[in-house]
Amino acid sequence: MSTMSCAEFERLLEAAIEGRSTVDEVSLDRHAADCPACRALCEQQRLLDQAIVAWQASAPEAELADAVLARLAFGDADDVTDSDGLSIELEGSRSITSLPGPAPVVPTRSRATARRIASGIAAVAAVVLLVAGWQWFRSPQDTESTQLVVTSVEHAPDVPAEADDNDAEVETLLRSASSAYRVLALDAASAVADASKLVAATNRLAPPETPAAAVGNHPDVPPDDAWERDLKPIGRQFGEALDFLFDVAPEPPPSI
Amino acid sequence: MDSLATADDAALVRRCLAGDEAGVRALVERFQGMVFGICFRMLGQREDAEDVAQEVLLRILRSLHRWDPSRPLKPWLLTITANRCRTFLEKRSRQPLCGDFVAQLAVEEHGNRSQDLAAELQLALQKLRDEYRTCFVLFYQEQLSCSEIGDMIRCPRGTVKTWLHRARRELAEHLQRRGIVPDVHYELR
Repeated sequence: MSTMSCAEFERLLEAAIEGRSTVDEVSLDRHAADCPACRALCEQQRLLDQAIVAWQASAPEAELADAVLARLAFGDADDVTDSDGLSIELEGSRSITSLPGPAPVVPTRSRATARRIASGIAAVAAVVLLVAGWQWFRSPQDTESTQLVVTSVEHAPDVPAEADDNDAEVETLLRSASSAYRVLALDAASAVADASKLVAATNRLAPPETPAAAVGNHPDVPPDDAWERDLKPIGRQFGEALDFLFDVAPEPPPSI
Repeated sequence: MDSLATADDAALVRRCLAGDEAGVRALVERFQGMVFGICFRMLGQREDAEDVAQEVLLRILRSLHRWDPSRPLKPWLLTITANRCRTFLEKRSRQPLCGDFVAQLAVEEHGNRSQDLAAELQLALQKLRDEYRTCFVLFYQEQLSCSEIGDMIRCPRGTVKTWLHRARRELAEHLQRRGIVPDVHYELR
C-alpha cells in the first residue's frame, strides 16, 4: 500500500517533468497502482511523453538565407515600420542596407508583379468573355424576335406608320449594340497589348542574377523567368479568345 | 567560409556590423533553423512560419548593434522570435481563418504512428493559450530550463513551471480525446 498522497504524487510528477525525466523513469507507479485518478494521469503523461519524442523528431527545416539577404539588400522596411512590441527595441536601429556586391534579384517581388499582371489580364479576359457569351447566346434570340416583330408588322396593314417606327428603332438598336461590342473588343485587345508590353518591360528591368543570390536553391523561390513562362499560356489563351470574339462579331445589320 | 562556420557568435556579429555580406549570410544560416523551428511550432503553418521567420531574421540583423556582447546571443534571438510569434498570433486571432480545419485535414493524411503522434501534438499545440505554448515550445524544442524561459519572457520561474504543467495536461487530454492510446500500458513495478 502506497503512503504517498495524490498531492505528493503531482508534485513529484511536476519535478520529474522539470527535470526532463519521463513518467516511466520516476518511481510514481506504486501510488498510481492504488489511485485510479493518478493512474489515469500517469497514463496521460506517458502518452504525452511518446508524442513529444515523435514531435521533436519531426522538426521542420527551411532555407531562408537567400530571401532574407535579398530583402536586406533592397532595404525592405515593411517589418520595421509596424508596431508590435519591438518598436522600442528597434528604435534607432542602424539598417544594414549597404552590403557590398551587386544587388541580388528579388524573386518574391517579381512573382508579386507577375501575379498582379496576370490578375489584370484575367480580369480583362473575364469581361471580354462575358460579353462574348452574351453576344453568342442573345444574338439569335434578338434576331428571331426582330423577325417576329417585322413579320407581325408586315401582316398588320392597318398600322403601317407604327411598323416603320419599330423597324427604325430595331435597326438603331442593332447598330448600337454591334458598335458597342466592337469598341469593347478593341479596348480589350488594346489592354492586352499594354499588359504584354508591361510584362516585357518588367522582364527587361529585372536585375541580373548573381551567384550570391542563387535563388534556385530555395524551394519557394523559382528562377527569375518562371513567372514569365507561367504567363505565356495565359497570353496564348487570351489571343485565341480574342480571335474567337472577332469571328463571332455580328456584321452590321442589313437594312430592314 | 570555414572560418565563418566556426566563428563564435560575437565574431560573426562584429562582421555583420562591419557590413560583411558573407558574415551576414553565415549568421542567417546559423540561426535560421532555430528561428524557423520556433515559428513553425508556434504558428502551426509553414507559410506563416516562413514569413515570420524572415521578418525575425531581418529584425535581428537590423538591431544587432543593440545586442550586449557580454551576454549569449541565442536567448536574445529567441526572445525576439517568441515576441514576434506572439504578435503574429494576436493579429491572426483577429482574422477569421479556417486553420483548425486545415490542420485537422493535415493530421488525417499521415500513415504511421510516429508521424500521427507528432502531427496530433502540433495540432493540439495550436489550441493552447499563447503563454502555455511558448513555454512548451521553448522547453521541449529549445531545451531551455524554466528559469531561462522565465528570464526570456519576464515571468517568475514558478509561473513558467505552472504554465508548462498546464500545457502538458491540456495536451495530454487532447491526445486522449482524439482516441490516441499509449503503446505501453501501465504495469506495477
